[in-house]
Amino acid sequence: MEQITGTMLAVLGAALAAGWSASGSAIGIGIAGESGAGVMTEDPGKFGLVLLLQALPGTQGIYGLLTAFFAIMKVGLLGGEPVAVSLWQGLGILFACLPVAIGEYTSGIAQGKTSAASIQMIAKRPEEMGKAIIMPAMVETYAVLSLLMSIILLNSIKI
Amino acid sequence: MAVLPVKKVSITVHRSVEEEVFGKVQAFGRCEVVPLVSQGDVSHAAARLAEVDDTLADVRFALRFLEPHFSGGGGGLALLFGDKPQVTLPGLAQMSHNLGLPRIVQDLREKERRLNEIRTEKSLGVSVQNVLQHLEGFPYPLVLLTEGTARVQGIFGTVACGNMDEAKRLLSSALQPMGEIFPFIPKDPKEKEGHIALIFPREQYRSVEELLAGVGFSRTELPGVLGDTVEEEQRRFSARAVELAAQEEALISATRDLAARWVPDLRHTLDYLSVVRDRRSTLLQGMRTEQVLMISLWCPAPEVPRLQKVLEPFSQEIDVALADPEEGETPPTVFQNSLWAGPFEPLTKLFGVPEYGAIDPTALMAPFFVLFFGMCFGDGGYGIITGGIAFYLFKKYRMTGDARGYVLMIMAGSVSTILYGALTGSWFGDMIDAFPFLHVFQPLKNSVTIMDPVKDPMTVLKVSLALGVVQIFFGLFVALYDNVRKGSYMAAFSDQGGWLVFLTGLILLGGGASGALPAEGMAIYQGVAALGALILFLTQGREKEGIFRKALSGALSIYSVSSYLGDVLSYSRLLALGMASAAVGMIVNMLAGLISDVPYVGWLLGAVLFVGGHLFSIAVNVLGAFIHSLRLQYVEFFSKFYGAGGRIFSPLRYDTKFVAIVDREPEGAQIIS
Amino acid sequence: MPTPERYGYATARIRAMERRFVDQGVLQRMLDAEDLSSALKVLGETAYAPWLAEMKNERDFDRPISSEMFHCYEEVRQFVPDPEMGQLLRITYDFHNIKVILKSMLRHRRGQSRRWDLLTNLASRETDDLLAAMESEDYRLLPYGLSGVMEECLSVWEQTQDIVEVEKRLDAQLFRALGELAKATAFPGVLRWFRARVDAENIRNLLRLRRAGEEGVKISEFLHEGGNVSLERLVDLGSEPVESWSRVLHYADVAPYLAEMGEQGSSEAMLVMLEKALDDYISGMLAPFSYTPFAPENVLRFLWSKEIETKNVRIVLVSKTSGLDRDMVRKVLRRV
Repeated sequence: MEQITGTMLAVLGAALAAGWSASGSAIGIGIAGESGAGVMTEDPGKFGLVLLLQALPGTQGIYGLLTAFFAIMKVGLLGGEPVAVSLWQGLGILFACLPVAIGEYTSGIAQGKTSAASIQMIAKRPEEMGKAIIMPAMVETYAVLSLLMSIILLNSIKI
Repeated sequence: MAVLPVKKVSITVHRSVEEEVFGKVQAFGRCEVVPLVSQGDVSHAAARLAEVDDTLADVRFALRFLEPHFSGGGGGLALLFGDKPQVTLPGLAQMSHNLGLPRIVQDLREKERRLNEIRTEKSLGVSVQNVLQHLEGFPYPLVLLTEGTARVQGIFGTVACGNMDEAKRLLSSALQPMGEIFPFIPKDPKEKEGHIALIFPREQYRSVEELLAGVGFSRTELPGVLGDTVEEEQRRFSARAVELAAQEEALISATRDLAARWVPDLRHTLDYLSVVRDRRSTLLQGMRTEQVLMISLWCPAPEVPRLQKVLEPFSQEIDVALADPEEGETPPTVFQNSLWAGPFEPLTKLFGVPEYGAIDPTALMAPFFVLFFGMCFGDGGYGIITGGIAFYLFKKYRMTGDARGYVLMIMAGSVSTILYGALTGSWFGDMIDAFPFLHVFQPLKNSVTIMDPVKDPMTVLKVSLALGVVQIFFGLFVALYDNVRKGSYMAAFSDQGGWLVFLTGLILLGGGASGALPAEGMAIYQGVAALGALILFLTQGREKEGIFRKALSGALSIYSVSSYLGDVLSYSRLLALGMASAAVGMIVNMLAGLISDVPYVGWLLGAVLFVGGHLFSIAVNVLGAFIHSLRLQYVEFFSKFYGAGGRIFSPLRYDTKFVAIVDREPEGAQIIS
Repeated sequence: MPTPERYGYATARIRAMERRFVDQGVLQRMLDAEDLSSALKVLGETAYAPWLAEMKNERDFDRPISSEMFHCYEEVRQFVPDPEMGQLLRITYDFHNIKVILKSMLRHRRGQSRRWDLLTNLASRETDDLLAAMESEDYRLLPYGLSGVMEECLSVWEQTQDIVEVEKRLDAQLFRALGELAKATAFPGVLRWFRARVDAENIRNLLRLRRAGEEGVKISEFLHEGGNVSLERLVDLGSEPVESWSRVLHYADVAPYLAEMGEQGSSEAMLVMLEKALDDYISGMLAPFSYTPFAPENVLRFLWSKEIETKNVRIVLVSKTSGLDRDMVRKVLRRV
């Protein structure tokens, strides 16, 4: 019983990591997409640039997927025999997934807003593309740091 | 590393040859005009400019009208990469001259006017048809409602459905037996308004109007052209609509033919006229006297001899003076990079051009950019694919400008990706381990693998952070060099020297505490850190007034260490993105492996998933790799020493969109009609 | 209650549309053009191009200008989440139309011809609807609270036969309705803009009335409530020379714009420069919102700038027909 609980807690962690990150990315890309559609109605030629900027908040979802993947690999649910996971180990994995679950969700939305603002910027000044791309990338730093912490924590749990 | 010095070349030219001389300067293409509010009598030059502006407006109009109907490719991709058809200037001039522009433009204006007329008439027709719809069943000619006769007149309009019965009742009692009422109740019950047409003797107009006002009637003016019966008019308008549609179609198809015929030539003419316009507007930016024109140019110093050679044939008519830029002038920035660093200039330009005389960071950043790109993209197989595509494009098109730079950057980045992928054993994710039939390659793959970001992220994290420390120290050294070069020894010693010593001390301390360095040296490490801190404390307040403020700023500056810490941590993205590539690849392989167990079609589904999944992974990761390695340069590296703030060199040259102007007709090239 | 989050699409599209503005360079080229037809050719390279073919002759440039404006209003109306944004500007044209209709009706009573040609399609309500409501004397159908004022206007006319008195009441209603519209949006920038509009209108009226020799109480009847500068202060201002207005109003946002006007020779020139200064003042109130990416005020800013742009284009084209001095024209061009 305890082992099943441990495994399920790990699965919950993975689910939170993947689910919240994907939500963050989805909202972020949605916000950016609205602005993108607005710009493209006027200037369809900007499709390439707009798509680039709109795609930026997508990495959060990938980081979440990555963490979820690590978490369930750790408890042997993917490729290989399930390993015995104690309640405490399972709880540890759940906690380790939280930085990603929270950080990616929030940063995904924030990055979406910045991307949308950047899209507005290139609508008016296409020559400033460089700056427009860097600003959303500033937000992503914190998505990377969340991922980093989750990976380090997952790594430090011995099974 | 530094930008090219420039010279100010002042040319005084006799007005008889001014256009010819600046034609040569434009062909030379390496001189920027120093803007000057024109002085003296410029009316002649202004008129010459207005003349070409006028023609340009015509060409732009023609292109604006024709381009939406033009389907022939303008060589989209080739144009994007700067691969344009090559022509000579005389050839282009000849072509533009023979084009017969006024005739084309007149024809197009006529077509545009006609199209507008047709569209106006069409929309008018639609609105009339709408009105007629409401009158279906009205038995008399409509002239009764529009004009009336000598004794009878009519009114048509709307009434709210609720008032309809009331209106009918009131009107029929008032008009009996002289008038007639035709109510049209809408078929759709959601419709709120119905229509009423009335015919009555003229003398009853007043009373009818009052009645109608009482029931909220609002009158609809019928267009005066309506005279016949409703059916007749409907037939006429439908016929006319068909006729108009046919006319419009014919006009548009004719326009399409015209577009196919003229758009390429018009585009070339646009280029030619822009070249002429650039040259003529230059002639407005100088000092003029009765006889001569004086214009100053910025020319990169090494190219001055070539400029002089270009101007030699005019030695009788012109006088050339050379000077160095003076205090207060803002000369343009001309990049000077070796062959390998040149392609990276677009990245520096994206951030901002260096000031004249300042350090150009392009070559300093390029190796880091390539290395980081490789680490972020992080997969040998992906590197082969992007590198292959970039190489193919590079061979296929004769690339110029920034596009060439980007393609070369991707090529260099791909090579670094392949190397990094080999070191981390990542080939399309874990393809070699995941699929049994590829196991033969395992020994080969494993022989060069030294670390694995997925299985052992901590090692890669350490490498990433170490690279961060290296680049930040390098940035500080560059700033130090720059300050020494400029003679600001105090700034070099305190701002960079202080931080270099302090940060070194901290790293040593960290190394000692974690056991990576011998613990006996702890006292030395502490000493180094303390010395650095002392330098910062004593010097960082040097701009402030008063001992207290000096001490306060000095002490506070030490807190900036947190920003250095943040900078270094930022390099952890090298691990994160590299790991993301490898792990997404791994997930794709795993899913492909799982799905290939499906009986019969499994291998096909697996293959599709494998190809599609990896293509998606490449698209997402190449974008991330590019942006994040760029961000590390801009935010973490440039902030140490680079301030942009310059102005890009924009010489008077052949600035064209659709053709490349060359000296000599290329061999075997077809001559444009 | 409108919320700013809904403006992601609209503001982005507005930014892209701003690129179609006639920029200073083009205006300059039009101004430098030799004659009207070359100036129109330059205009043909801008967003106005599709409408130029509608002109009956060269001097008929008002038609394409108002077509472009109409096109903009209609385009924005289709995607802006709050219809008030467009109405805020178009309501002026509604009141213009009402005045035209009313005057035409009064003229008609005297046996003079109606002036339907003066009606504009820029208004937010269909002209036909207004016309129908007026002709059937069913004033309940009139929008923007006009139903309440129309009876009064007509009775004033019956008593005094003074059209100025009638217009005064309509103008007062215009600004009341405008204020209500602005309050309905509840966006701070819109309210700021409204207060600036009131200030501008009041100051303009002040100068006009002074030129007509009016004083004190009479002046205050023509001023509107709701601006940044209080009515008492404005009435006091009436007795000061125009040159010192910026000093007296030094605390208000409008002061620097008034100061910029400088001294003018004739009172005619004074009025022209004052109008420019006031337009710049109103534009200045909206300018900061260009730095806020999703601010709904950007929609208003765009439409207002477009209005200013049409004004500039019209000024330049008129100067081409009348051969005004270029430097003089340059001075009265509004900032965009």
